[in-house]
Amino acid sequence: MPSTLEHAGYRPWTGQLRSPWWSVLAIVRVALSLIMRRWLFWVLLGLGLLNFLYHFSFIYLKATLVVQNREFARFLDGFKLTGTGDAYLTFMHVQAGIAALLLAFAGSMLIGSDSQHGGMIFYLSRSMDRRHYIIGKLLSIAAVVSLITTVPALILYIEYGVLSSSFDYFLQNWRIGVGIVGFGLVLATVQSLLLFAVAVWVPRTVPLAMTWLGIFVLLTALGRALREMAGERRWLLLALWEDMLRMGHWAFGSLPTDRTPTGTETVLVLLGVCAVSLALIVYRVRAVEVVR
Amino acid sequence: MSVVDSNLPAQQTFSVMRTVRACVFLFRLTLWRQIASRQTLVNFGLTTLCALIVAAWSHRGHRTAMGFSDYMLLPTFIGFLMPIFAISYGSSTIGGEREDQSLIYLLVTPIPRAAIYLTKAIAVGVLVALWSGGALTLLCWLAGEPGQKLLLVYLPASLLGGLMYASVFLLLGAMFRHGTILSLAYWFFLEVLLLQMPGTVKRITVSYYIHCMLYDAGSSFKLGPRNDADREMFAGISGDSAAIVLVFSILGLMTLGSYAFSKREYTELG
Repeated sequence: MPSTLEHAGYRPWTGQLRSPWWSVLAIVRVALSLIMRRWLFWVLLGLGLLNFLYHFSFIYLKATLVVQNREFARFLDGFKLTGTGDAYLTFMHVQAGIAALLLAFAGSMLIGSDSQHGGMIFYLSRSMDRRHYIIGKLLSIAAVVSLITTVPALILYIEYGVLSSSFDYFLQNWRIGVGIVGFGLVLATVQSLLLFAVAVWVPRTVPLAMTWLGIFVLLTALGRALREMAGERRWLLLALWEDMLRMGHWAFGSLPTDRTPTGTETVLVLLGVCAVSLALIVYRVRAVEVVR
Repeated sequence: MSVVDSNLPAQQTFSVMRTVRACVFLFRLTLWRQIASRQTLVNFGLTTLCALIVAAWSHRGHRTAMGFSDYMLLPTFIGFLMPIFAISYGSSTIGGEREDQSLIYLLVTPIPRAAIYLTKAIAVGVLVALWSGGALTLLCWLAGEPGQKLLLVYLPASLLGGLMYASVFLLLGAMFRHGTILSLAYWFFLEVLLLQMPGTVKRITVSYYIHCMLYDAGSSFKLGPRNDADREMFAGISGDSAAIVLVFSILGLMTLGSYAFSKREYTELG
């Protein structure tokens, strides 16, 4: 290094260089700290956790009633709010709706602002590839989704298990635990890829939120209307929200095998959506903006 | 000095005229910027999707005005499209200028801040009314006879509802940095939650008054809650009262917005 640069305080990195894959963790950490600094995130998270508090109290009440009055506890089971896998599935599905709102905020902050204000170029000018950037951002969005869907569901599952008289609950209902994690993975994967694809093409907050919500709300309505018109249940595959729910049923082991659309068809549609989203992301994420 | 005094009324008139002309220019500029934005493209896309949904519904064998209202207009237009139009223009009119850091250029002009807000509110109102009225007319036309019957029932509620939503979202955009997300949280979460609650708490939602106007105007088509329990749960008021509440709320929100915009210090603009 020339002596002038040394005098200016510049020096080469003398530590051990690590794999650029470590930058993925740094991107996730920065993204989460960026989003958690905003008071709006905590407001939305608080709104999202209202449903969790309701379920948390209900499970506690149920556990108390099991000890005091078993008949009444069986009556409460009819509401599917405890014990059975359906209760957790419904809980996560409702939470996913709230997560969609949170993601509109996260999408504009984590992806949209990077595209708009040159953050992406900054990241890609470092010693990392665009795949590291993409995976880092996808993991950041997935973390936000998991924070509001999978983590609260796992807490409810553990709560119900530890409030019972022994740990047999976990052994007898291990499938519920697997179902929660499986459905959580489906929600996190599909929503993060889809949000990234939308945000990288429509980075501004307002159009991003409109497009993001439009995909879920209107495609569901379109699928139902086309099913009514054609009498073909496969049109329901257009409803991505319900596709994810169907995958949730599959993860919990409660998906009916004789009903159209089948689990395989749903998997194919969701894989197609994920592949198209990934292609749109890879096409758009570039270190240098190409202008004509 | 005496010369200046004698010309004072003329100078004031000149100043007022200049402000009016500046406001007209700002109105046209706001209108143009919003029309030429990505929101317009997304609005076109979403309206096309809704039109496809209604076109698919219109191929059913048995179609009634009540069915069209319950399964098409209420969930897709009143529940989604109309608030989306309001968010797309309401939140982004001032919120977008803050995001682009261009609000400062507007604030350094000699136009009073209240006039800026009111001008922008009128421009947003015009756009939202045009989009709501246009989309509703298109959907009703696509639905055939049931739609044509319901067009006049839905039109006043849609226009007033759209303007009310736009006023709320414009105010949120002017007051908060992330006004769009707050608008979404209000519409997507609080409105849905409160409207399903019993009692009078739902009276703080916009959609409650829109539904009251619709049910009152569409009573001849049997629009409204189906049974006594639902009616008691909804606890509706008359359509006229709902319209009066909406009109006064719009005026109140515009006044509050112009006051808040005048007093707000936008520190993030540097």
